[in-house]
Amino acid sequence: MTNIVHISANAGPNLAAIINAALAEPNVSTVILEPGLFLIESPIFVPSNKTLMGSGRNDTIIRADSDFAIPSAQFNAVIMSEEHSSGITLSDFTVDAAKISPAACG
Amino acid sequence: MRFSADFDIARIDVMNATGYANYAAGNLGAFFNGGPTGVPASGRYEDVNTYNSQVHFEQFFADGITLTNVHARDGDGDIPTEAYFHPIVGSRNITYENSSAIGRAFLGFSLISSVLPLENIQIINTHIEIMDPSTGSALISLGSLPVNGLFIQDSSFIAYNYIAFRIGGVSGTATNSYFQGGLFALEVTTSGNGTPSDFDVTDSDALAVRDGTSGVGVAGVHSDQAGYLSWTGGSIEARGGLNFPVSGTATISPTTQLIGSGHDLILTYTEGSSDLKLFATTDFGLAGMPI
Repeated sequence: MTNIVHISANAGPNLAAIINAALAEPNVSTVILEPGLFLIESPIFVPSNKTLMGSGRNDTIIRADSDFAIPSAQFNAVIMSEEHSSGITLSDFTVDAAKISPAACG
Repeated sequence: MRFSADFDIARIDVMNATGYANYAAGNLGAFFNGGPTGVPASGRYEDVNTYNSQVHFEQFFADGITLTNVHARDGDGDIPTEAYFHPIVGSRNITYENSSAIGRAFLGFSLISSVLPLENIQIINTHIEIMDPSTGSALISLGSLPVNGLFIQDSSFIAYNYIAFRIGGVSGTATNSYFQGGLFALEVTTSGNGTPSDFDVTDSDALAVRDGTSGVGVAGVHSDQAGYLSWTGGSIEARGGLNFPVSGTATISPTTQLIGSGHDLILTYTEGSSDLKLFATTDFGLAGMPI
């Protein structure tokens, strides 16, 4: 499991789904987000032993879009670990939760 | 990082979270039910900045989280900050190092020892500065249960207008650190369940400072009862309307400089001068300060 996938901010209309699909791919270890503004409409879920990496905190911005969908009445976040996960790595990006409501996490 | 272990988070900024900017939580429910997934959260934050969020770094039922070079600010301030650092519910072995939190927050560190006690909380080379105009504190630990081990070194805790550092039922130490409040610099009492504190401060400085014309009394340190607070070396100063370097009863070493400028203990003290008074006694029983 050493494959690295690069995703650009204009990869498609549903960026969270694209990122989640890449992270869920068994042969992918690392998803690298290229420089740009990633407006996402739902949370990104990171599984065990996967890496989500940007291209620098000033260059890769992940922002909750104005129509960000809250998936859970119990817990809301822009980037979430899968429950009961281990070995997750996040690095080199900025998360803007965009003041979404109800209360949400980065 | 909900129900997540051994995570690494590095070189990330988080902003505008109406809840938690960074949330690390173990599965407390499964722990109490004896389930195999009832494990604490664990991991590392390094070089992480946060802005304009309600709680900036939360550790909920965590065991083994290190936060290094993390910095929190209130940002544009339209999301009121409840706390910058928030270890809670049985979290243990949590280390904050080379970090800072500055702004108009209500609390810097909010240690909540409830459900399960907090254990081994270390704060090293970390600066907290709370500008809240009302009752904000740089560190507060007044949960229902004790905190077993709060270790502070080379750190500063400043609250412009209220009590900088308030602990109850806390055992631990502070070394080479600084406390500054607008009412008390440091207050030591019991936890909610009545557990006394046992806190030793070494080579540190406390300053309670308020406009001298305000008429407001200030105390460098306040300790409810003997045995809760021991202070060795360093200095304790009150500089306000009425000045009590030590309020209540604490054990103060002969080498600690106690300074009550302008009133009471030192009438001739001049800012920046060497006109300091050294007390060669312990267990000061000064009257409680008027508020």
